[in-house]
Amino acid sequence: MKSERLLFISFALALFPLLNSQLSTAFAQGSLTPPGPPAPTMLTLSQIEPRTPISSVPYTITNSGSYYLASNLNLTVNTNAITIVTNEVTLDLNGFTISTSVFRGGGDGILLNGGNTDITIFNGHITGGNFQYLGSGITYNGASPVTVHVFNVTVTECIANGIYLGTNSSTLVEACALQGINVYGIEAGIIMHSQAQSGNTAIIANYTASDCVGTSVSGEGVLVNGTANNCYGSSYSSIGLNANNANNCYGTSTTADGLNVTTALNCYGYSNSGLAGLYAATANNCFGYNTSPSGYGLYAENVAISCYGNDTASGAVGLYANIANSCDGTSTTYNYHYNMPP
Amino acid sequence: MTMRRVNHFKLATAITGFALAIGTNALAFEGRINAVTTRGSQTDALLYTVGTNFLRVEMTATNSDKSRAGWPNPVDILDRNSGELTLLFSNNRSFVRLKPAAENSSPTPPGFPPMPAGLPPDIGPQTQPPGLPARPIGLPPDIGPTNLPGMPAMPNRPAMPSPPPGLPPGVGPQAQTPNAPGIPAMPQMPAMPMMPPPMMEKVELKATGEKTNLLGFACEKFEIKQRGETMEIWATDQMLPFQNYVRNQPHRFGPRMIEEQWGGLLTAKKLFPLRASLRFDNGSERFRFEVQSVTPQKLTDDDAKLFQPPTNYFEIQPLPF
Repeated sequence: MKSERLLFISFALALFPLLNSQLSTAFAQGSLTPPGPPAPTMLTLSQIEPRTPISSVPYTITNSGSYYLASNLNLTVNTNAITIVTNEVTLDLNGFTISTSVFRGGGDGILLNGGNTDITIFNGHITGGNFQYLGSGITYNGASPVTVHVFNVTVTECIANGIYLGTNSSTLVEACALQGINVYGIEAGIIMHSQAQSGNTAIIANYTASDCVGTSVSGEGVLVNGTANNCYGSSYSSIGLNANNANNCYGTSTTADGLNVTTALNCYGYSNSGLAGLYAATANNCFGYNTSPSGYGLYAENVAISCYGNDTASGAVGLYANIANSCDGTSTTYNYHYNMPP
Repeated sequence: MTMRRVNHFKLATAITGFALAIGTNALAFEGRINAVTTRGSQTDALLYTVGTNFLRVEMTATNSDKSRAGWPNPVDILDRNSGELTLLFSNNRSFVRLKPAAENSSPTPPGFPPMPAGLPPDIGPQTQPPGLPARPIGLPPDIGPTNLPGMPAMPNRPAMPSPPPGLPPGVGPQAQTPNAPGIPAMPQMPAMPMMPPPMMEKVELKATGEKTNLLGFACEKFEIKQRGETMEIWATDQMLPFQNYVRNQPHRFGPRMIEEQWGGLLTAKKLFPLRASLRFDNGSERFRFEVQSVTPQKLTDDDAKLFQPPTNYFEIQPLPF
């Protein structure tokens, strides 16, 4: 049995050179002259990286396409760092930072110059340094831009605005964080998962703001023409959160209503002014808290359902509602009521 | 017929003359007015500087933050001719110009619709019936939200470094520029429709007929009533149309309380309040405005600077809605 196997292996080895021409000496050698110049076998640089690097600022994007920062870029002349004057541009900040060292400069980080459309900016940082030498982080000039998406960007220390895109419904800011903004924080049609701290109104959304935090000195913390979802707004001298509709929101203010909305659902408002912790036309399952002796904890212009108003100061009203249903407060005033104590 | 026309002409002339007299009288006042507002334990002192064409209102003292009196409360400058209001924000040395509100039709929202007649006794909102069992003290666990945090700590105010003097390029409103070459005009996107205003009670300024004299000015008593509150106002037509002190760009959403509306009602009637008191129907006062002194005086050229934004302030755009 073993001898048969050895015989088979020997036979196979003997046949192998005949079947493999390269090892065989039984056939003639080919021509040594190459058939032609070697053809490219690798991808071109433009195939590997089909984007345009930006290696210095100021830089103006005049052609549609995809761009990326090649490194941290510092502005040393008094103008805007990157100006986009065309449409269909994707700008990847590539994890790098746009900054400025122009003393009292005021140029913008990224300027959309003239009704741009189809712009995406993402993944990086824009800063005015310790002394707010940058004008705005991302802003526009002239006609409002449309179909703009900004995400994963931080903007800090700007003397003007943070991310300022106008109010078109197709302007979307997502997952951005802003600190030290002198005027307005974020303005866009839709704002999500973002935070801004600014001198004037911090979050300005024309349609919806979701999962946002806005803190302001002299403007609203969060201001939404449509609906605020899961937002927190805080202000010193204005309303903490002001919207048409608010769901699961929280607003605080030192000198005005903490939360002032048309309809409030599962919301909390706090104020220590003579106004209201939470002030709504209709409030459902809400809580209003005021520490002022001359204000309201919760004030429902029309209807309050399952709400509680807290203002324990002497003479203040915990909860007021025109129609109250299943509500309570440290003190209550209402014109009509259901399921309520006398 | 001719006589009737003559009478109509006389009547119109008399009304016009009366209106002009009132207007002239109101516009003629120039000087300073010191007033105090009180909300609970908070007292703010206001100074009105009245010029021929401009009015400046500022908070000169407050007991809410004595270390930085007035900060960051803005200064209001009203162009008495155009109605444009400029707010100066000291916290970031900016200012915003607000056009007069589209002749706001009326500061009062539409009235709350009455309940339809003929409803069965148990249908619709019920008034407080007597004889219900006594309410236990404390909040029952099933009333109101149950997952709310306790008393929140107020967030720190953001530190706002002082901006450099002078308007740097690119800051503030930018000049309109034509579209960049090659950029096609974008179709107009539909605007966010404004929600209809909530059903709120109509607020009206009603004269009571009572008259008195305050600080040398003939005053008439007016009342504003909203659910649960009454505001009594002694106002004169011998000074100027009132301008309520505005802390911020007026908000657009949600309801507004009386103290945010009374100023507009007085302005519409060219009245200036010498004293106003807003009380809960339970009797306690929740807001008070009182003029403490009126000093008619010709303003100097230096005073004229008070009606312009400081040169080291920069202009910002008003809120979009």
